[in-house]
Amino acid sequence: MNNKNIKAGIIVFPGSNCDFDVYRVLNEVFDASASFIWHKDKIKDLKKYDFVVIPGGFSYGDYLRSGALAARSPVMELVKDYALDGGIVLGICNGFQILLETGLLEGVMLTNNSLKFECKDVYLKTLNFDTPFTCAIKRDSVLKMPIAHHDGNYFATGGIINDLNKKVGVIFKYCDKEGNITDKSNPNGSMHNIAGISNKTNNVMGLMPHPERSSEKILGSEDGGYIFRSIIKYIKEK
Amino acid sequence: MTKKAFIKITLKEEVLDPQGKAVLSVLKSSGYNNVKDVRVGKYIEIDMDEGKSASLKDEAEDISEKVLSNPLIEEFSIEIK
Amino acid sequence: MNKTEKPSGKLFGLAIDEYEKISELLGREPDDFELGIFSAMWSEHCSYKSSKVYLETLPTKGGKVLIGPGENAGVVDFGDGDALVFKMESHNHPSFIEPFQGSATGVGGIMRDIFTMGARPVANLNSLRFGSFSHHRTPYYLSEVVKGIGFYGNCMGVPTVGGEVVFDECYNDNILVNAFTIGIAKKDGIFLSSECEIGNTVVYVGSATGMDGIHGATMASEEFDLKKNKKRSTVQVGDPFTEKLLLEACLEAMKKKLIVSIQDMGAAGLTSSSFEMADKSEKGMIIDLDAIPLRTFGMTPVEMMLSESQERMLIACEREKFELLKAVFDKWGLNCVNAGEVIKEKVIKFYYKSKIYKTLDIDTVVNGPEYKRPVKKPDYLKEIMPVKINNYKIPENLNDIAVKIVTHPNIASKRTVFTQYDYTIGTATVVPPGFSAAVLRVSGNYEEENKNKSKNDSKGFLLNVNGNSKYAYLDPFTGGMLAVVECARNITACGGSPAALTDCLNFASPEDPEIMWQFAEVVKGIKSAAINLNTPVISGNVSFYNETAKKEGDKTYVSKIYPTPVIGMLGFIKDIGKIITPYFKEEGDEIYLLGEVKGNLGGSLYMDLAYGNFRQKPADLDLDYEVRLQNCLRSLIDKGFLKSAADVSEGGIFTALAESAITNPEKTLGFVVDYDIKGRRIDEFLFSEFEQAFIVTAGKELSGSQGSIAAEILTEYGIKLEKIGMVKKDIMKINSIINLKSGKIKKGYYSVI
Repeated sequence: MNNKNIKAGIIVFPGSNCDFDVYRVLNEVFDASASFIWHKDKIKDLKKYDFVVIPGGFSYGDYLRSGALAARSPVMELVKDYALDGGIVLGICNGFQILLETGLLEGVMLTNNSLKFECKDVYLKTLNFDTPFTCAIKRDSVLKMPIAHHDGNYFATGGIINDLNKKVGVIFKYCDKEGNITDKSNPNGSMHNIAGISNKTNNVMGLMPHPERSSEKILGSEDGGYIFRSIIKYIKEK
Repeated sequence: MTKKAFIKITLKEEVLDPQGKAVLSVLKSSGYNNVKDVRVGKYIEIDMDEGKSASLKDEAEDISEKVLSNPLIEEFSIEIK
Repeated sequence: MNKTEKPSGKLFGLAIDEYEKISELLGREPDDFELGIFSAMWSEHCSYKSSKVYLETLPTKGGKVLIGPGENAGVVDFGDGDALVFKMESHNHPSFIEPFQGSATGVGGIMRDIFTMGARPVANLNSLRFGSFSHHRTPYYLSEVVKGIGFYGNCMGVPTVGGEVVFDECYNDNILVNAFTIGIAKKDGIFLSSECEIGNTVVYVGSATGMDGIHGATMASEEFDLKKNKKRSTVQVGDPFTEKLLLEACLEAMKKKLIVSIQDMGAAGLTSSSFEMADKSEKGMIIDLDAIPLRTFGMTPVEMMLSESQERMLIACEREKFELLKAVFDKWGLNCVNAGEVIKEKVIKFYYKSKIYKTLDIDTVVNGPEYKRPVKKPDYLKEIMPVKINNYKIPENLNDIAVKIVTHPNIASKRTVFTQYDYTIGTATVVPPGFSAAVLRVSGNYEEENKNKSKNDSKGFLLNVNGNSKYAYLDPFTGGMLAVVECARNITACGGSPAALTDCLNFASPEDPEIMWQFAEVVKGIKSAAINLNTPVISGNVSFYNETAKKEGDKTYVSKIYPTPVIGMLGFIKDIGKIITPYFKEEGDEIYLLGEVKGNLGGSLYMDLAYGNFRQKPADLDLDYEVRLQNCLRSLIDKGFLKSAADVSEGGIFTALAESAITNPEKTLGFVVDYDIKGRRIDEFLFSEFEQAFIVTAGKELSGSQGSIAAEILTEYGIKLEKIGMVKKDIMKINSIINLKSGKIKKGYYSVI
């Protein structure tokens, strides 16, 4: 596997803390060329990257609202331009929250219905295989990945949900081991068990679970790797 | 009769407010030059029945002191309407 | 602060004779500033004045130890040029006053101790003690402490991979929060607090100084008073976001070689960091109080010196590199000010309002009193006798008692606690919390250029924290020993080799001779186990005065905790692929007992639940046998013969079997055990605790093709392995006495807490 020609940019805010993990997995497990973009780096645009990841963490401590302060930083303007231009953007956990706060994705994240931080393995069902993030996932498979968040309870108004459904923007839902979407398998009270959504053009996705923590067998699951494999496959075939 | 208690809880002045500090730094870097300091607090509304017991204000004060706030680091103000 | 009054009783935690000693050393009465400094530096917390004579007896060298106690944390050689840095510290009193902030800042403080050394923190563990599970305040403390730990650790991006939660009424008025952090560094990239050079610039970095926790160090050394809040102390508030920036800034500055020496501003803040750095470096310092960034306007010099505001460090850097250092901290948006200079003369000169304000001799301040306090064997121990089991009738309802034991809050799953901690961040957690020991691999690629990547990614390390205060109360020597041994068992049960330890010794007042006796005995126990298991003590912390004066009606009494030694241990494994977990794997696997069951119920949960009396003497530990047993188990695991291994700890063999059956994350298993107990009482077999034995499982090969090699190993170490039963589905049966359904036990086990 040589994906060295595939360039990934990982946006780093003060307080990002999954940046190293994403960096390591992309470079070492998937043999791509990932590098960091510090939020204050003086760059004009993100065009040189094949895709951009906004990793998890506690950007600005997640004070005020999760992702709210990072969303207002100048580098996110570059991410917006990049996304509107068709660039592939993956936001994981806090990255998802930042994408919601910037308006690149619709809806908001509420506090988990347990009112607690929840760290555990969850199962995911893929609803749309026709995106850069899911094109290498086997149909009918159920993916196991860990979540680790305090505010992952996705909420949107009926109109947005309808839109999301119509455009097949709901990409992942929490389910049980067998793939049934049940209340019991919903770890945070998320509306319709939503775990990951995309924008209308399917080039921007937010995902609460952590694919970078489940891309190696020794960590108990390799299923997260399908997300990165999909992105790489999509870019290569483009 | 139902009345409403409006309770504001803020950190005492000498206590570090990490949230306020983080918001301040973003506001500053976003160019809001008139901003001097930010303190973040909590705001709570309680519907109360005007019962026979002591005044609502006393009860709200008791609630604020014993449950809603930590008097070691926080202070509160109450308005009843 | 008020003008100094003539001391009556205690003043800022100083005893009268200590106050007089200070006056003698100074040749006059101390002023407020001096008194503040002395009271902090001579506090139990900073000076270890009551414990030092005992701590000095502990083994601190040998094995893989690179740096023992004395620095911010201890350092162990991890091979391939890697080093592991770890320490455990208590934050008991602040957590009792404000459990969320107290536990949060405890976690923040211990992480600073680790990254001060140049290591990136890679895992946190904690040991928590709360009052009785049914006490009305316990849910509040549990929920707030856990939230605080999660708040800080999760935001820092350091996984919390393990720990223990124990409930006992002896903690009703004094909860304990002991936090452990381990970090990874390059062997040649360790930073110390003892390397200041004359002419270095003294640099203050991190958060501004506020009124937080003024007199925290002396508070930590005082019993809680009936009239609390006598001293107006403000609670320290943690800001993990700032600490995350401080971590990155410090590591970046270290990588760029901009730091000569560094110390965290922990207890007694600027006071202890400046005096200790200067003292250890055998130099002096100029400290310019005008330069200290303040959060609260108008703070006095002594307040600046004693503030325990979090997320601050004191650094010595080469004068010409200060601007480069400042650029790094500027990038991370943190204060970085020139606050003085390292000088030759061993004094600290304080400047305030541009004038010399005070000059204090370092030796005088640092070399505080050392006590060999009176000791006396406690009276209560006279009543603690070995169990005469025949005086107790075997209960008819052993099944009910068995259920009570596995669903006891101290045994039941702590899943709802550890799922509030991020334990998967860092992509290194191979065995998550909830099993014997946490196992981590080295995923460490923390730098963009890959420089800090380990050359060896097949190795791993194991972590465990443990302590049983009930046993330490009933027999302090055995209790101290057991804390060490139990950690080692948990590490060995996964296949790891214990390497070194850190200790957190939580006790009531050292001024009580009975408490001091307990302390001395516990340290003796730790020492003897640490020597035998070859696990040197590389760092640690003592927390005294965990007691509270209480008033009930007309009676006043002092509520004291049991002696609570907590050990945090590190183990290594060469090939992380060989790790095993404690839970059963497959139906049909064979269950064995490795080791000996002596059957002593002293101090056991069974005696407590069945007869309402745990106050009997626990069994002695044979350390020579223990070492052979653990070596034997490790060999069997290394050969790949075993599928699971669990030690026999609290709740006895029954609990070890039951937990092994129900903690498999994928399925619910059970067991049928049929074992000849040879005339011993069945309850002794089922529920005796901390036996020198393990419950292990293996496939059929162990009694077949692998049998002769296994037999050789067993003979070599002189250890017995007996087949006692088989892994089944859904049922738990032992000798036609115990007959339970796994599903029901599992439900109970996971729903208590």
